[in-house]
Amino acid sequence: MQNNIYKINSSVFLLRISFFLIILLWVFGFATPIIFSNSNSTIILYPVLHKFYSGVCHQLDYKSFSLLGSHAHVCARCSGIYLGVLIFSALSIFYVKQKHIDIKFLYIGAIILLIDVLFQSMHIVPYLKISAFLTGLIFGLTVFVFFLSAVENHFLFNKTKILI
Amino acid sequence: MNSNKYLPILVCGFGAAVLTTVPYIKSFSCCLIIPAASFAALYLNLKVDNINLPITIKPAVVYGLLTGVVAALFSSTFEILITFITHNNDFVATLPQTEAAMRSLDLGNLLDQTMGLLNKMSSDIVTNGFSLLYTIAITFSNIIIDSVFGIIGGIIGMVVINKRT
Repeated sequence: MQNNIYKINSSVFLLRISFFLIILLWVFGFATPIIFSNSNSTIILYPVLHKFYSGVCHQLDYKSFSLLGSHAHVCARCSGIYLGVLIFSALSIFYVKQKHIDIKFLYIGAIILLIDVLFQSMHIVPYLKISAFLTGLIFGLTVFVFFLSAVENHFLFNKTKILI
Repeated sequence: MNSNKYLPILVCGFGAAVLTTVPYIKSFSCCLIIPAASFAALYLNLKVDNINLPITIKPAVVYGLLTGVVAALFSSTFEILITFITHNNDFVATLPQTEAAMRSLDLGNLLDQTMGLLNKMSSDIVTNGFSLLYTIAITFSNIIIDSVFGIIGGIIGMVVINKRT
């Protein structure tokens, strides 16, 4: 029994660290122009990375974070979502214990994001990068909880309950 | 085999491709379009096929993957068509600036080889409206990214549908 718990915990740990590394690589890729904004060392990758991320974001300059004139490859909202996912994936490595999470948190995250998108698209409020980023961050944090839970439950626990 | 089974995938994949590719509409798109399309495909499939609940992870992943692949193929086709008609695209437009920045570095032979390849693609697009290398590159990258995002959408969709029912 003790041996099985140890095996599950080490599998959970390995899975979570794998997710964290993949997400870290993804975030590093879109943030390359900002991370290396004071040098041209990664300019050779710019067209390739920009095209690569174009499939998942409109990449409008005025909606993207920039540093010294270099814009990230994705907009502020997408940056928020990915950073939210990265933050939670990092935290999940140190917190392996599982407990029930209510799905209403996912709905709340999605509704906040949707309201911000609608209000900004209809010009009820001006476009603010920080608001796009924060609503994306909240949604990213909540959505990864459920994604990770579903993957772990299937591959490690064979349960259908939402646990994390 | 029930052909209606694949209708939600085609409809949602097509919709996602339109939202992520067509100019002007594209400005409203973001990374949630493909996962949302997978979720919608999974949900519509429930209505069409009367699948027993709870949904397991296998059909959720398959539906997400197929929606992602369909969206990638449609969006690549739209992009190739738009490029063919206009003889221009983002890649051609931004290449001179990228080349100027690259030339400021001392990258030697590597830069010449890279720029030779990029300039060949750009000149093919400007003269013929089509570049085989560019087509392969965008189709490949779209399939990879959209498949991954589609699978994520399928899994999250499964959690939401199972929890609601």
